[in-house]
Amino acid sequence: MLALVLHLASINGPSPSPSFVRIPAGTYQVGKASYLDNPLRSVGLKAFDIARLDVTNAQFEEFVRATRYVTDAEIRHNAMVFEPPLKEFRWIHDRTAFWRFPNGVSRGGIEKKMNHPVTAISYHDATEYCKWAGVRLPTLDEWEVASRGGAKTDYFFGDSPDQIGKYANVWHGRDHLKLDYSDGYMYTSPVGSFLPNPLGLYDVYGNVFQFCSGRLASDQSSRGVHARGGSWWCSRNACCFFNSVDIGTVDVHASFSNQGFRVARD
Amino acid sequence: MNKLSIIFAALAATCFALCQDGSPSAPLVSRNYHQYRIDITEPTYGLAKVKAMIKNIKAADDDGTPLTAAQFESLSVPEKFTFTMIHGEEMDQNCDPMPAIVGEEKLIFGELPGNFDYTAAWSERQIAFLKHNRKAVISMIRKEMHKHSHVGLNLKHAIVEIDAYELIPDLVAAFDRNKKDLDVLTTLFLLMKDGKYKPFLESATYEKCYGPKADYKSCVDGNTANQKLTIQRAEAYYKGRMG
Repeated sequence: MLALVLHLASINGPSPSPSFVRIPAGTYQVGKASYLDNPLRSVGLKAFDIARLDVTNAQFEEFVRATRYVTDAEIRHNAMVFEPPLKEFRWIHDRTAFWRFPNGVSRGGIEKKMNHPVTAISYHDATEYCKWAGVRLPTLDEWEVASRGGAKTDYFFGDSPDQIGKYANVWHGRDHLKLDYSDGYMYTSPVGSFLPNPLGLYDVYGNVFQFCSGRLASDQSSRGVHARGGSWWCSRNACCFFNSVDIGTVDVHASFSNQGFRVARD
Repeated sequence: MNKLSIIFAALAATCFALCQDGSPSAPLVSRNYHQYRIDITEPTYGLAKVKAMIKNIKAADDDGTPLTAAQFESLSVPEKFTFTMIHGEEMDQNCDPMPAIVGEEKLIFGELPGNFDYTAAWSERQIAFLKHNRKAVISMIRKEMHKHSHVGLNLKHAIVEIDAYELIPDLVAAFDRNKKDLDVLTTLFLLMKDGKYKPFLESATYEKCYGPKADYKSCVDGNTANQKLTIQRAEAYYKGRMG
């Protein structure tokens, strides 16, 4: 078994300072035996830092104030929002939605949710934030190594999702036809509201999908980018993506209210 | 000699890795089958005109900006059909992809993979078009199914979207012609599920693919017995719906 030595450190970044976990250089096992796009294999990684928490609305607001950045959703009016009842995997196009109103103006803003992860931003927006903050997105492999926390199972807590409710804000309803507040939240929760993984990373699974850099062998379109970890929308009966093996695909300019990111750096 | 040793070692390692799945070609077969599953059928109605429109839309904004309402309405029904079949106007969410897995060519899944390379989906007006022109759409899907050996993923999604149970005999005929495409049987599953066909709802297949423990990746073995059972059920369901 590969040794994983943790170096926890608080390293100053954009204010308010995110806290990072140091992942040492080494060879790590990633993937799953049956997965063609993420096969079981060993990967060599250089040492990197990864944020304990997802980027919040407050942090993104600081970026927007400093740069006057305008997000894809504000330019393209292409954001997709959610409100039950909806069939599985169906979302609503809402031209009013962007990061300040992640599910559209009619469903309320983020004024009281500044400590929630920023959503309704695209991969492109996330990379622009990273440039400003002097950080980057984790690669697909880096995210997986950090999420696993040394585990070789699909979840950092084992092979069954039975314990997911302790660690993640996910959808507990059988479908998406009715509201689900059973864990206290229908949409996002404040970052760090659930138990962390063994490395001290919060919301590794659930809350928001976390954008990662990198490509898959099967990528068809240059516009497809990837995010991992599942989200508040994800349920056991739908995608069940709140794990360390699945990799999602989305358009580089798409903005959904379940997409966010955490940052990394060398 | 040293170079040769390295080459042989690399070949041996590759062979060992491939043989892990029981057959040296297993991953390649599965990869090709996954691609086959997500391939779409391009309808011929006004194809050149529609492709040119899509190209212009993308060139204008690099983002597939939807046609204006006037542009969309100016298309004939067959052209709208082609437009809808080859172009999704909305973004598709991140977790729609069905992971490509080893051995998927032997499985009947409960759900179809996401359309349009997992990055786009039909808009509300495209879905409304399919539903409001159901009879014409069924006729065009039927013609496309008879023209091609493979029923594209887009046609399968459209069949499910408009509950086109009238196409069950065409789906069965398509599967008889090409037993490789187990997603034809998935389409039959979905028609029976959405139609709340009691014998299917009470089956072990339903329990496994749509029961309390099922998720988007759930599946049953695609063996001959399951193939036959699915077709028998679907034909009985069809007869019942047709009265």
